[in-house]
Amino acid sequence: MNVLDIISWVLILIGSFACLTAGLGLIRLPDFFCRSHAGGIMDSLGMGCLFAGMALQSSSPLVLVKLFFIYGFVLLTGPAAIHALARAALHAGLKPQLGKSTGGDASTR
Amino acid sequence: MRKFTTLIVLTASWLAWSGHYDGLLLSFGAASVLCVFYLLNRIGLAALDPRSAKTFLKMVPYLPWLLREIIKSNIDVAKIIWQPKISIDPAVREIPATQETALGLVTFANSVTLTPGTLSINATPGSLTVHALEAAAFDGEGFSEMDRRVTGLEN
Amino acid sequence: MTAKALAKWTAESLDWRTEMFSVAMIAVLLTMLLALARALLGPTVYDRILAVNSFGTAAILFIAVLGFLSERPEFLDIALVYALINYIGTVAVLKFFKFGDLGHADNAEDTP
Repeated sequence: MNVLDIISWVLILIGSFACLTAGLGLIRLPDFFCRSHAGGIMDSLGMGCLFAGMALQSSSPLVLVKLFFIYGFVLLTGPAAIHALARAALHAGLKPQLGKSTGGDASTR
Repeated sequence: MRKFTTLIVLTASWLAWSGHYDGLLLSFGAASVLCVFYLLNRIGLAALDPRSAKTFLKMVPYLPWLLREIIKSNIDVAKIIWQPKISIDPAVREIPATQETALGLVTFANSVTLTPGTLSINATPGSLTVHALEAAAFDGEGFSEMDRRVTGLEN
Repeated sequence: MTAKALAKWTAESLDWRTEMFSVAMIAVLLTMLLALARALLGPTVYDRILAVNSFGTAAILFIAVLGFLSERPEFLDIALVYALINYIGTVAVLKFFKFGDLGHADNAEDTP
């Protein structure tokens, strides 16, 4: 095991942790708009770290290019899908719960 | 001429993806490139707008900055999610967006959504409606700095 | 097989690379489970679509990790296709749910 392998171990551990965090956030956060933030964690950090860890283990430049393209595509479409969802929910009349600083009571759940 | 650039980009991406370079598969590749080019032409996207091309090129130095912001806010949100009793302070507010082009606005809205903890829920020219997990996100210079940087990509 | 022999066998057959990707695989599978739970719990339809979208992202990761685990990086092509379908599927379901169909009479192009 050399230095690159250790870096890729660390990256994959961070990525796995970020994915679990996103899943837990989907379950634990109180309302739809808050849960959307959890979805963003997996798109950005989870996939980023896991793919970076895999890129360090890849055997050919072709694999590197593919990992890069998939990540770029997800970075482009993930936020767009979440934005479309949140906008549709807002237009359908779903009200975001507000915290204490804006007069709501969604501080804890 | 600009359409020619599109053709070259399509061909290059096919070659990067395929990894097989014998006669039959190359002819399939040429066929699919022409097919995609025909469809792009039909929806009027075959010629890349030079201003957009410039914006894309300028994004290269912007991405590392965005990456740092993403990592910072990821840590914040992860802390919120793993605390035993979730205590958050969600807020919705409109923030100004000074971008002129649609691509600039999309980049700004996507950047806001991509940093966990803030989520753009409506985008109109001139302003962005943002939902934040912590109302404190609106306090500092965070959004105005991101707005300034994205506007800087445009020209 | 005694416990000692089992330990020896595991140590020999599991190299660190397999271990690494197994850890990632377990994490991704747990995430998929959590997303599925949210899809079942609801309560609004948007929560369900969001959960399915996250499930799809986890599935992309799952396919990619599986490719590396079985040392067949060709799986990445399937992961890309899944990424495309995930996005288009989310938007299509959203539009279908909102309008009740996937095309509009007033959106139809070149009506003669």
